[in-house]
Amino acid sequence: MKQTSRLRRILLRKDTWAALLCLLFLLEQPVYAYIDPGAGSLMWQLVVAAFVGLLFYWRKFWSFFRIRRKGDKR
Amino acid sequence: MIAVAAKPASKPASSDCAFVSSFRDPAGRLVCVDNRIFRFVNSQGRSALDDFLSTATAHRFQQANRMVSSTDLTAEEAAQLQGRLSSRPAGIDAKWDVVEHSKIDFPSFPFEWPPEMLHAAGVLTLDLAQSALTEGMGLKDASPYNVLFEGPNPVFVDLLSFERRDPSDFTWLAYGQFVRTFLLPLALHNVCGSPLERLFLAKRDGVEPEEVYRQLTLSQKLRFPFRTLATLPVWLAGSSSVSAAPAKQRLARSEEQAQFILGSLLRRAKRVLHRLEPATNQASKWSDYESSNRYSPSGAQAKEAFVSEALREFCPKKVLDVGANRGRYSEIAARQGSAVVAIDSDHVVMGELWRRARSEGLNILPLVVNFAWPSPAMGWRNRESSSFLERSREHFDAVLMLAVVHHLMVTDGIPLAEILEASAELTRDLLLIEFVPPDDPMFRQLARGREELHASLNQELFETVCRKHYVIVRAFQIEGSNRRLYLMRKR
Repeated sequence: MKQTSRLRRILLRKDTWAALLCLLFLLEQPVYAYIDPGAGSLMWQLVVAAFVGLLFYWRKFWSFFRIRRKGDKR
Repeated sequence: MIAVAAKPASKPASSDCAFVSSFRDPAGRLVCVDNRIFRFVNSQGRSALDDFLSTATAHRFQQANRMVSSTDLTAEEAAQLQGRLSSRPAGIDAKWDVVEHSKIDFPSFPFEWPPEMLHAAGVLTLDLAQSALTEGMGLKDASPYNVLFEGPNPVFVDLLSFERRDPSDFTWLAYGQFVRTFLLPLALHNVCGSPLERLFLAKRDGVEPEEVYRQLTLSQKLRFPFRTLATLPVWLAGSSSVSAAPAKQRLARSEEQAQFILGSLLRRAKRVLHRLEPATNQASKWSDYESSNRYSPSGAQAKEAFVSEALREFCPKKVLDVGANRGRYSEIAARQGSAVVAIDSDHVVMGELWRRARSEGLNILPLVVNFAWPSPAMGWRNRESSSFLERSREHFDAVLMLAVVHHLMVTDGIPLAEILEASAELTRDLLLIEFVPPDDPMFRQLARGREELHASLNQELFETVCRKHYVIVRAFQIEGSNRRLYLMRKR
């Protein structure tokens, strides 16, 4: 019971999610910009990018699969 | 990000007429000398500029007049320019290179645009970002100050905004700025009716999602457009460790994947922008003013004929229409070949006029400017965007003040002599002005008990005040009303 509530507390912390997001993108380098990228907008961009990044692989897989099926039919 | 300052009215002899703006980007500075626009660039800026100008995107957008042109100066021209600058403007090194850009006739700023124009500037910014992405270039900022309008058409002016992207980087750092300066202001305008001028006059870099979030009701927070523009970013930024983290370049596993993610981001931003396009057929206090005015059909026709004839006779190249309302007279001037700046305090009528000018190819720049409370000089040292009156000073060959003087006198309490003096500072030659006497029904409606203040105003007094600055060429009594039209030339 105690363990479950600790897990819930960890999952509810925004830091946990932020850390998980950072883990999604392991390769990072500092950038030199003169505009404010905006913390929230940047984080939102990263969240969406994670999904779109996965979608990219899904599409590749799907198009590869379709090409193979077309090839089989011929 | 760039901003354009106009020439000052009284040129200080020593500092010449050079104005430096666009200093936020360390790669270059913009200088206006003798009504020409020069950009000084450091070696990094020069290579980025050359890189961008060699792309098909630059070529295509310049060909379509959606981007300013850029020409190199010869050594002789560069030396002449250095000679014109009595001292080198701050921050510009002697080794910096210089290029000249085509000049936009009348610079205007987001706090003067109806929402339709901000939307059009956003579309241009995203079109450019999408096109540049296919050629490996990215926009390093996405501010509406990068766009000016030539007539009703948006033109991208900051050629230093482009940089060669790291092909594996899948983030667009300027996305936050695009949200703050385009999407959130348009969303606030659409949903809450917030006037754009208030947002842009109060804030340099748009509105923060946090500020917007605080004003929203729960249902607004959870629905389009604020859900993804404000609510989720605010929730995600809630962690202090994330907010304080420096911006990092995020690299995807492949260049193809990075391009796919960025392409998707730009398409989504465009879809949101498309859904935020201001609605047509909005109504405002002034949108049916012309149809509810006091002229008989023949009187209205005669007024149009008077204006049209005067414009045909003198062919003014640049016209300012003060209190343009739906832009009937701006249209007449534009159809006769003048470049028109139309101003009115109502964003609905200016938005409609912008749509008409754009669809019919009329050279009209409609701006939301209240002549009695015009846009001030803004920005660092008040030099990033000059005031409306500074930009307008002796810029126009003709000023139209039709059915507007009584509004300025009664509603805004401005003395007639002041109004005529102000008009004489803006026009180089002509003034077309309408005299509305105190016994006119509209005058009485506006005065509402303040008739005593204007009891002495009559045709004779009006003409005497006008003669201080102008010579009356001809006058015309509008049939079926006691209003009088005047064509005058500046002394």
